[in-house]
Order: sequence, then structure tokens, then C-alpha cells
Amino acid sequence: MADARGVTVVRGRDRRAPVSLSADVVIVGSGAGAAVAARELTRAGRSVVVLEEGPFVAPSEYGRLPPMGTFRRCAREAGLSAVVGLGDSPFISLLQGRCVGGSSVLTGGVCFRIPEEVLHHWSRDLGLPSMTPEALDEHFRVVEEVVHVETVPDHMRSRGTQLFVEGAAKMGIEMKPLRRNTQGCRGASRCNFGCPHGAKLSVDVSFLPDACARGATIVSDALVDRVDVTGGVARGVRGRFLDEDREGRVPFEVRAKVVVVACGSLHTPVLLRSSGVDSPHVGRHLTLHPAVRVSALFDEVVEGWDGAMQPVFSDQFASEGVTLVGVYPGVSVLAAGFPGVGRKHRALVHRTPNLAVFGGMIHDEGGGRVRRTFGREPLVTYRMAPEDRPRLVRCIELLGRMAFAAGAREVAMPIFGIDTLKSEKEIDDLVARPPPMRRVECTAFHPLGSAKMSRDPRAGAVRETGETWQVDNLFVCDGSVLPTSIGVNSQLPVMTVAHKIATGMAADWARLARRAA
Amino acid sequence: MAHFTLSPRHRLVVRAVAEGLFAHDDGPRPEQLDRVVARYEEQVGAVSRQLRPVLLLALDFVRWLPLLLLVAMRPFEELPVERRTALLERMERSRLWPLVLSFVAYKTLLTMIFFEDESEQRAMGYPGPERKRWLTRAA
Repeated sequence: MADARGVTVVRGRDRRAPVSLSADVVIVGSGAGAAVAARELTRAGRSVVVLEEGPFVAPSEYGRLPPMGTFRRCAREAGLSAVVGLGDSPFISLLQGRCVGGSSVLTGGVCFRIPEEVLHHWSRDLGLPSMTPEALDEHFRVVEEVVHVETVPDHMRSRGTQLFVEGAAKMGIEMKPLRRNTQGCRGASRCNFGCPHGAKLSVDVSFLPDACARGATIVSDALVDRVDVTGGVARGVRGRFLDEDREGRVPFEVRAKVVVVACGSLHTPVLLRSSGVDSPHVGRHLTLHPAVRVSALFDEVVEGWDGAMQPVFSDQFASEGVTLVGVYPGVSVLAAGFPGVGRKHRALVHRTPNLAVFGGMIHDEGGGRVRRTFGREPLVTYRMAPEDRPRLVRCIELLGRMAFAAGAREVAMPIFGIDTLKSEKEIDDLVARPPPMRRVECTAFHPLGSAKMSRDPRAGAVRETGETWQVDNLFVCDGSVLPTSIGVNSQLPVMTVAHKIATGMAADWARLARRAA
Repeated sequence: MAHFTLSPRHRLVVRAVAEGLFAHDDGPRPEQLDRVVARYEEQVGAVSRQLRPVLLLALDFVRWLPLLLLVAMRPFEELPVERRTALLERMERSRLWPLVLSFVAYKTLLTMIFFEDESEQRAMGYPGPERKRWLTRAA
């Protein structure tokens, strides 16, 4: 057993004999969706078992781990997951959590509500009447309270952020303060490597402790192989405990009246397919919010690391599918993004104190697909939609122009194989002759939509309630149910939709229990 | 994770790539290269059994790149460091996508590892984890 800030975790890797458990609800995954569901269902009096494939890393350890050490312990594929671009599409680095708390441990903590126009599209055009701003408002409010969503104060903006805000202002671009799930932030600028001060209220220090206090059992190192389905009703799950080499040797099973799959948009489709859910929509429609960043070199000393990692954003270009978001990803990560090799690269790295960074992402149309492979990890492909290519170029253009407007001497663009730009004229040239998308350096943090909700089974994998169309008492409760991309960071939306699904399950419990009998 | 070890051949290639990537007037020092190889081994040991062979295959690809590009009749690790640096630069600017992809994968991974070294961070002017800005509110 391991304990930290109220989370009691049974370490599966310590188990030497097969284990059989039973509960009202078994939840596969422990990230943003799973943790919210665990809390709400325990609050409703249900017994809950949470199964996490990854290890338990105590929050007190986050500050002691270097970035790559964090990735080794807490990220899927040690931070080396990637999406294979098809055709003229970028090769996208994709960061996903694989630990108790899931990706919430590795996010920047940015909290947006789902934009109203997106919800109007879902409710009116896609026939999902409960996905309106009004219907979700109370769910947002509850989640925001639990994870302590607060606005980043002005004094936590690093000098680098201030420079970009100045550049944006000169271009007539309005920047707004971001909201994050923090309390007592000291501006270490390393939220995505686990907060060293425990100031980011990821679900392992917010929702899961509450679920534990109400009796939930959290098991780490527990890989679920399949959902047991009998007579069209989910009955539980089977899997293996993973040892330190990630080999599964000790089997376990959990019998339950309801099964909740919440392993994220990449692994939820894999588990559903392994369990016989063969809807053609499972694994398709994946959206990513492809993101880019530019690095700008100034004459003045900027020390961009001193401040909140993500303090401001602009939605001024939302109608063009572009959101601009301040970011500072850490000095070793920045060093990896500088062009060049040897002395030339080193010369740029040694100007890191003069560096400011800004990022942006696009509200993409999809084109991603998750496929099962011979092993545990899926093959994820992405064919960028034709309308998304100019969006990505526009995003890069805006970031570059903001940097020069702020007085940058040189700007490193997210395009492989080009030198730093020395003038805005070079941006004009770039826009006039855009690079192939496969040369754009992209990252993604918000995979969504691979088991999307729909009004009928011909259009998606799950009902509006989160229950799969094909199997009764089998629910999906993570970002994969979102029917489209949302154009903003997805942590709070995933938690909120999970809250809606979980409270719906709790309200409908008598019927679900009758079915399971 | 705990039991994966790189083959001697792959160790040599990782070390040679790192030396080419980070070559400068005074270094990198041998102990820095030893550390990069050790951390790289840990990183590869932490990935799935599906991804691991892909990463190792990419190393072999780099190893035989001098022959594939008709640059030299020797494997990468046997080239002088200046030629390795030049070859890596050529990979970065190449129009051949597999070359760029292999380069970017290894540059990203090894650079993040290399610049986690405290002495390197001090040399670039990074003061470490201490921060001042948040104190302005406390004050």
C-alpha cells in the first residue's frame, strides 16, 4: 500500500497470487475522466474499484524527478509516443500520462469551459440535447470547485510572456489571463513534469483522495485485457498485474455491475475492440489539436522560466480555428527545439536566458485513427484535413509576427531544417510558400473523439449517457466520447463530461443494477 | 525496465551521435557522454516492446548512413567527430523524410537528456529550480 495526500493505492506489482475482487463499479483508468467518475459514484454510495495500468508515483516525488525521469515514470512510452502522419501531415509527438492520475499529472493545468458555439453545434446539429451550455453549467461549476480553478494573476507572467503580450498588443491582438487548477503556484514553469510544489490540483491530489476517503479501492500496475460481456451486459474485467518490467504475470479479475472504460482516447478504443465492441466508430474520428510553438531571442535577459508556465491566451482567431496560448516548456525541452548541430546549436542554447516562447494550437477537423496492433500500444495515424493545413500555417505566422512585433532579434520557427528567421520579411516568404506539413514540428496533448457520443448507433460509439450502444452497463467516461474537437485545452471539459456521465449513472442506478442481476 | 541493456554496438552509436550533436571547443566531456548513453538506455528500457525495436532500428539506420549516402565506407561511429556533425546537419536539412525523422527523434531525445546535466544548465545561465516572481505577491 502507498499513501500520499489521502490517496491509498494498492500496488499491483507487489501481488504474487491471482486476485479476484467485486464491486458495484469497476473503472479502467485513473485520469481526468476516471477520477471524477470514481468520486461521484462513491458519493452516491456505490463501491468502486479503480484500475490503473501505470505505476503510482507519490506527488512528493514529482519535484525530485528531472523532466526525462518524469516521462520515464509517468508518461506512456516514456514520453516518446507519436502519431504517424499520413500524406502531407505532420508527425506529431503526443504526450499521455501512464500513472495514477493519468494525463492530469502532465498537463499545464489550463482550464477552459467548452466554447458555447461548440456546444451549440453538438446540441443542435448533432442531436445531443443534453450537451448545452445551460445543462453543463452545474457540472462545470462542481468540477471547477473541486480542482480549484483560478485565474493566473498578472504578477505570475514571466518576462517572456510580457514580451509576447506586448507584441500581440502592437498587432491589435487581445490577450486574456488563463484559468488553471492551481493553489499556491510558485511559477516553477514545469507543470507538465508534475508540480514540484503540489500546487497543481491534478486528479491524484483532488478527486481521487475524495473517492478513497469514501471507500474506493485504487489499484496501480493493473493492465485490463478485456471486459467480460455476457448476454449483452458488461459483468466485469480481467487483466494482469504488471511487474517492474511491465510484464504481466499475475492475473486478476473484478466482477462488477457496471464497467466504466476511461483509459483515454488512444487506449479506450483498444479495450473496447478487445472486448468485442465492434462499432465502426470505435477508433475513428480522433482529433488532436495539433500544437506548435515559436522561440524568440531578445537582446534583453528574459529568464522566461520565472513565472507560470501557461498564463495567457487569445481566442481572437477562434473563427479561423486558431487559439494562441502562452507556454514555457522547460530549458532542456527548449534546447531540443533549436535548429542546428554542434557549435551552432550550442551558441543558440547559451542564449536561453534571452528566450521567450509562445504557442498555439488549431481546432482540427479530425483525421486521426487508432488501430490495434500485436501488442499493447495502438498504432495512431493522422491524415490532416485540407482545411487544417492553412490553419496551422496561420497559427505559425501569427506567433512569428507577434515575436518580431515584440522586438525579437531572431525567431526559431517550428519547421524542421530551417535556420532562425531574422526579419518579418522571412515570415512573408514562409506564408507565400508554406512548407510541407510533414516538416512542421507538432505536438499534441488533447486526443479526443475516438469513441464519440451520438444520437444513434450509426453515427457514434456511445449514447449521450456515455453507455455504449452495443453493450449494456458498459460506459465510456473520458475524452474519447467528445463528438468533435473543441479548440481549447480538454482537461476541464473531460472532467465535466465525466461528471455528467457519472451523475447520470448514479441517478439511474436501480435500472443498471436490475440489468446486471 | 530494469533489465534492458543496450548492445555494445548500439552504445557506440548513441555515444557517437551524442558527440556529433554536442561537439564544441571544450567538449563534450567523456563522462557527459557516458551519462547520455546511460540515460538513453533507461529511456529505451521504459518504452514498450513495440516501440523499442523501432528506436534501435533507427540507430542502425544512422550507423550505416555513411554508406547509404556514399559519404564514407565506414559506419557512423568510426567517422571523425567533425564529419559526424556534418552528416547530422545534412540529415536535419535533408528532403528525404526518413532521414529528417530519424534525426529529429534522436536529436530531441539526446538533447533533452544532455541538457538535464546541471553543469550544462549552469553554463546556459539557468539558475535551477529557485524562483523569485511568485514572492512578489507574498511581499
